[in-house]
Amino acid sequence: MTDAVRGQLVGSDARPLLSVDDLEVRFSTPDGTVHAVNGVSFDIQRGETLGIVGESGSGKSVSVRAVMGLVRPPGKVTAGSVVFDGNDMRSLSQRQLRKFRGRRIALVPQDPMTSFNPVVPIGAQITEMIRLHDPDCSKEQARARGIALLESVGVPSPERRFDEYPHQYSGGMRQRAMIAMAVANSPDLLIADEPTTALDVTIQAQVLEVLQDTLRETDSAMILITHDLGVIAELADRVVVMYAGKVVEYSDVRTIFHNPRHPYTVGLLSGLPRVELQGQKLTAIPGNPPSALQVLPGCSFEPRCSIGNGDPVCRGEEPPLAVIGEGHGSACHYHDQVPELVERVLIPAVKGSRDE
Amino acid sequence: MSDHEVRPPGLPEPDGKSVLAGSSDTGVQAPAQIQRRSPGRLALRRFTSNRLAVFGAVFILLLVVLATFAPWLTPYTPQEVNLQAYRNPPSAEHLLGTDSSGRDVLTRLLYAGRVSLSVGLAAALGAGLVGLILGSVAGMVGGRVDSIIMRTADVVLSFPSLVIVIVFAGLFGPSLRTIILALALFEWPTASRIARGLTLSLREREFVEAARAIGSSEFRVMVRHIVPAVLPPLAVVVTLLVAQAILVESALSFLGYGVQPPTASWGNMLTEAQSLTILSRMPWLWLSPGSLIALTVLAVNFVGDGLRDAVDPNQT
Repeated sequence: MTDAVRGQLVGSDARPLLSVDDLEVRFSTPDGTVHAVNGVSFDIQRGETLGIVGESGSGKSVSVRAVMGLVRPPGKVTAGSVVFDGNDMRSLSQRQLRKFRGRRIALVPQDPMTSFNPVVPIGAQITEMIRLHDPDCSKEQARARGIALLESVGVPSPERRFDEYPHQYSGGMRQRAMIAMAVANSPDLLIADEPTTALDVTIQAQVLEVLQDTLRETDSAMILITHDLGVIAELADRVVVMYAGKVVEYSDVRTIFHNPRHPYTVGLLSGLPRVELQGQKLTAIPGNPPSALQVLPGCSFEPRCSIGNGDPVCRGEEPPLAVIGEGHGSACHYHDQVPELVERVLIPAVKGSRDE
Repeated sequence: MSDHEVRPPGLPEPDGKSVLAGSSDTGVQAPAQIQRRSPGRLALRRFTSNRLAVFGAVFILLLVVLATFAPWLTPYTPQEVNLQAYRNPPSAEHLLGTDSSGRDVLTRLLYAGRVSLSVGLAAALGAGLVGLILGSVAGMVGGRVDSIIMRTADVVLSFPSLVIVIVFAGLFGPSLRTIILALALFEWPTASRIARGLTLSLREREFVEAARAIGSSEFRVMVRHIVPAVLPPLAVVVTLLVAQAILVESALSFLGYGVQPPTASWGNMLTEAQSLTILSRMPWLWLSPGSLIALTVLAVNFVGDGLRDAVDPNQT
């Protein structure tokens, strides 16, 4: 990563809360080495929400697991650095990392159905989180705090709900309880790993709202992992787009929607349902993501790309993540041709539908 | 609302009171609290609906009570020799007769129950504990630790346990402690396999990952999330081990390597049946300890089966 990009990603002069640099994660499997994350870099400032978008298997979840030191065998962080508030997380022992997990960095997992222990009451699981990091907190205090937390995320009659088991909660309520648990120790960084994927569409909005309110109250920074650009538009300040274990584009949230500079981002945008396009088929990106088992030279998006498909440059040379504007970077050899692609793909679709 | 006037609900009464407020204290009762059925209560209900299991449990409880209160139940002591009453058949004085030293068979039977039941229970609990620890560690840590523990389990399982325990008793001298220790050390593999299998499936569950993400140590994950889930099925295995331990103890004592006379155990009471005359002419000497062993083992197995069904979460 060049210094220029570094400066861009760091944004302002302030030292970032978390800075991930050239992160590489590999999994050894019987079929070979899976290159899950290949040189991912991003920064996040205090209080900021960073969205990470990408399709399944693009390395989003693994990247943030690596931040928490939670990549488990056969996975291994093989290169790069993770610096959280001045601490080099990769050099810390598991014992030291445990002091961060749940206290300074908290995870809102993807599936609230399976992320609570089904045979332990919700309240007991929340108080465990509290007392694990604050052994001086008495059971009664922890209980009071837990009930207050449940109330703050909008769980009705929290006093009673506190002693109920996960199966007595609805899906949305469980995810809200998860959020309550995650913010129990006022973490500096909240990692929300597809917090709404397992939920009903009607519940999704509620949960996002709770998440947003909670962030506002606790002043935490958040990494929001999702493949839903709608969620990104609603919550994120800045966006990182990942593809095949790499960052292919980053920028502030407006720029991603108004001036995307990577064909993959355009592909994601054209797959987004829009009110204007009622009755039309959604466009899918042709093909599948490359297998993470083999690493080909050149751009990993090339086989699916409408600009660079078959292009010798794209095939032969991996595009670097270059700065192309204020806080905006793209890993595309032909990023200057992308606006044209937007004209061709996104805009006519909208126009066409209006003409009908 | 005593008047016949119909008015929409919520409309203020002429005196300004709300109709709804008025009706609430005339006694619309809050719905009765729905009775919560805890997992424990459900399990108990499933257990009690199994007649054989209940019979087994009652039988064992009865034995425990009888054995515990033995001193108050019989006028004799188990070591009390009365050479006048030598191999007497059952009579009003000696309900189950007397043995070759003129000791009261019923009394010895009750006192022997203390020994046999506690050996069975202690040995099975020991084996269960060893199995729980080794099995869950093997499942949790995996890799080489897992292979070493589980291959050891295979080796232990491939020995005929009775022979091993006899060797053990021969080496360290037959005593209650030796038997319990030997049984615990050689009966753990069944328990450890159960514990390991469950641990393997549990450790991949998302709530375990979530527990790690809140900063739980591996040890904490084990104690808090793995062990509680492993315990119910393990309890079934331990119950069945109790039956097995009682059998092994009886066999050992019968052979003279177990509980040493004059202390009575059901097994060594059977020793007398080694003589053909006694076997054919004095059934009271061996029939009662023999059938007690069989009935106890049967009862324990019934309880084990009942427990298995009761703790199975897939049953309603």
